Amino acid sequence: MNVRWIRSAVVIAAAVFVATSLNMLPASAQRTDVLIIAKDISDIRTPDPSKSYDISGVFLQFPVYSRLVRQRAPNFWKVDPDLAESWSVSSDARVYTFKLRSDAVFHAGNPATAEDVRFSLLRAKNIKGYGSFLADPIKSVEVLDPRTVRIELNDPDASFLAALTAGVFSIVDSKTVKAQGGVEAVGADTNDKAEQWFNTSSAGSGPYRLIRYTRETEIVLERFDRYFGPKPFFRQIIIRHVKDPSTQALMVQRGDADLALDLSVDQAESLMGKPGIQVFEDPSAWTVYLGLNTSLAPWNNPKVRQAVKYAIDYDAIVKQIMRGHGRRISSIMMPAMLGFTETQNRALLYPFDSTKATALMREAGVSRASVSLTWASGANYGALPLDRLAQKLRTDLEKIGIDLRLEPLQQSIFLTQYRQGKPETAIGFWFPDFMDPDNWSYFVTGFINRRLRWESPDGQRLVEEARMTGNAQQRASLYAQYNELLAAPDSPYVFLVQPTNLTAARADLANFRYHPLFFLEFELLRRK
Amino acid sequence: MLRYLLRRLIISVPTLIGITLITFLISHLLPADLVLINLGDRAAQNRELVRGFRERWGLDRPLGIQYVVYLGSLVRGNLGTSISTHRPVLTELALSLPATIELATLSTIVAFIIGIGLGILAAIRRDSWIDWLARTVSIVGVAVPTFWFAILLVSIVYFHLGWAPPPGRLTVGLAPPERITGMYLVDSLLHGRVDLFLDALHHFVLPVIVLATVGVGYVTRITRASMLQALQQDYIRTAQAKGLGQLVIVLRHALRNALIPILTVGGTLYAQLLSGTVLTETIFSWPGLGRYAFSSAASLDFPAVMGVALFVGVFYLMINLLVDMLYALVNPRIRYG
Repeated sequence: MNVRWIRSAVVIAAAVFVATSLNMLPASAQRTDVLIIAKDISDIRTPDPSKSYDISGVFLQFPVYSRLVRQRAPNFWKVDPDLAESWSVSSDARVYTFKLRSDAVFHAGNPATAEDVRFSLLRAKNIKGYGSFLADPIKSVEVLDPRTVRIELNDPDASFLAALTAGVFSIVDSKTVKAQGGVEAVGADTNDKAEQWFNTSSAGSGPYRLIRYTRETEIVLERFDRYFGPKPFFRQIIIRHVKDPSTQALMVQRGDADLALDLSVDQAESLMGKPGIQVFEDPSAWTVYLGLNTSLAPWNNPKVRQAVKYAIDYDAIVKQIMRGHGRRISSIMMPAMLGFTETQNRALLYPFDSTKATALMREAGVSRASVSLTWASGANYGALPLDRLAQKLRTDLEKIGIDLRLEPLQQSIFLTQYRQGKPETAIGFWFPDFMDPDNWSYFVTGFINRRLRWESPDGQRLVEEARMTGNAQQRASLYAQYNELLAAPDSPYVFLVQPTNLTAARADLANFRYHPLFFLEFELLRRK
Repeated sequence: MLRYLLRRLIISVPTLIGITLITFLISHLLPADLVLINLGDRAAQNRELVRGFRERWGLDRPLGIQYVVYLGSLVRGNLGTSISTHRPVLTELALSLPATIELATLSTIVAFIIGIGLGILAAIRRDSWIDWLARTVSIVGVAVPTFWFAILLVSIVYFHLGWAPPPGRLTVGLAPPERITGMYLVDSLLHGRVDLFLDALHHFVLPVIVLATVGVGYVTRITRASMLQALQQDYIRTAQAKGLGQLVIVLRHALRNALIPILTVGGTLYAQLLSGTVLTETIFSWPGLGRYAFSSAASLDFPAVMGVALFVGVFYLMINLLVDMLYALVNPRIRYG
């Protein structure tokens, strides 16, 4: 063989080796205006905003579409203008009138008008998609003039303004969507043909346009230069599908991704303090509880329910299982929201007091009991791994004579069984559709409480009144009473924790704002 | 031969029908509520949405009728529509299949080349260091847990050494070649995009190592065993006595006779890899058939699950047939009448 040929081949191979292995600059430093996010996007069913309801679907829509109003981190309880520059609400919280801003244009160049709002809201309602139930309250949408739109509801509903921030109420370009076969009238569930078009295009007025979406591969977004808000820093945003959280962590460390969004608590802990990495910690919207089925022994005994509330070492759950990334809660709502102040959350907490728990068991006349515990096995709610929580609960309750038999179930089977009210004891959670206290009211309305065979007419009256009350102070006081009622000793809920959300980012990323439902404000993110 | 083929094809029809029946029954008799899982907890509260959903997917009809309707549309080449994405299942399969076909084919080829080579060397140099190596490789290859090996490779080769790209089929942000077959290696060459071809090839390295390792284990073991057996036959002694060269004896006389069990194992291996490998595909963010089957099953998207099962069935039948025909090719004593 030709020696010269071999020699040059060796030199080339060595050069390639050096070039690939000794590349000291992190990849992120080489792509100033391109942002790469590692995230599990396998739950996206459709990128059509009026149909989409899954968590990553909302993540995809948020930078692409504007809604009438929005909520921004960190004060995500306040409703801010988005496409609407102002609005008025009738005193009975039934008629909402919006005035649109004049400078908003869609990605195709059409101006955003009241007709687009009417089309989008009715399409969301009539298309009967996964999120359409949020549009149930809408009775009619009327265009008063090209920049004014009036929405009338079937019943008074003070939560509707906050509901309008949800992804399903994204405003789409009616001209473009109609041209693709989109329909908003009754019957849209069978007549609308636009869904598939949304896989490759977008019809929004948000800061980014969708260039490409490939299932379980990636989402590519490009800056929309005519966006009405502040000009985004990043020209391109690529959301790369990475299912495995530990690979996400590796990619951020190597600089192949700027952000990793699905880290477990162990991975986040291992990244903290690493050079070139910053870990952000934000409140998540998960609130986790233990549900006791009151139709069965021993949970049919109110004293036993009370005993359990004193028997759990809550602080150990926070410190050991969540490694401090979360906090205790005393009701289902997120502390600091309207109707549930931090003070109230602290005041309603049960102390861990095994003496008292044992005494209560004695009072109840129950010395030993055996009951099953089911949960969605393998699931994580933010920083909380459920399997470990289940083991901890078993250990704690054993000390007061209750034998919790662990029966983990596959997620969809757990959900089905819980909905049918079958579990004797269940690890449940709440994750809202939008940020208004009304969305946390289902623990007395029959939706959740019936699974545990528990009724609270008082609670139901409170949340119904609160929904119809426009006055914020009055609402706050009604929800405070609701929380007190849920935290009562004999209620079937043992409220546990609110985990935080952990995100790892490259150190050169700034203006990171995390919203527990709508994720990141892409237009604000920048490099230092 | 033609008659034989035809007969085999006719026999495969009841097998395929059986597959659809079993998958259909399993996905409908699971203790999970299809409507709830697909519509979500909140929407399943809404009677009208639930009714619409049941009507749309034919769930309001008796189970038997549902199955007959499914078979009816199957005959017309329609695999139904995915409940999750509202796209035809065939379209969805066409998106995930090429990724798996590419990966499985490449891994099988690598496994065959290394496995047969190692197996032959081990057999002719029995009890030497190479035989020891081959036996070790075949035990490790078969015994090593795939997901653990995959994570290990990602951690060492990608993360610590930086010699392999991060998981995925192409570098982040790189647009895939315009679709012809959906296989990136093929499509990039058809479009004359050598850069894309090399990028895609680079991304194949780690997943192929993982999948080929398992294959190498099986192929080495079976090659070694059947070569040992073949080398002891009388015709080998005759060939040696005739003064034939070692290479000719090993390749033409021994290997050809030893090939039948190797083909059987290889065929099963290929069919297994073609049906998708959930864990490897998950770790390498490879949107293939395994991932599709897994997410469809998790969301109880039964038309999709049945579509996957049917395809996997077809793969097995086709590969079995192919292997049977190869038998005749390598061993003229086998003829099909």
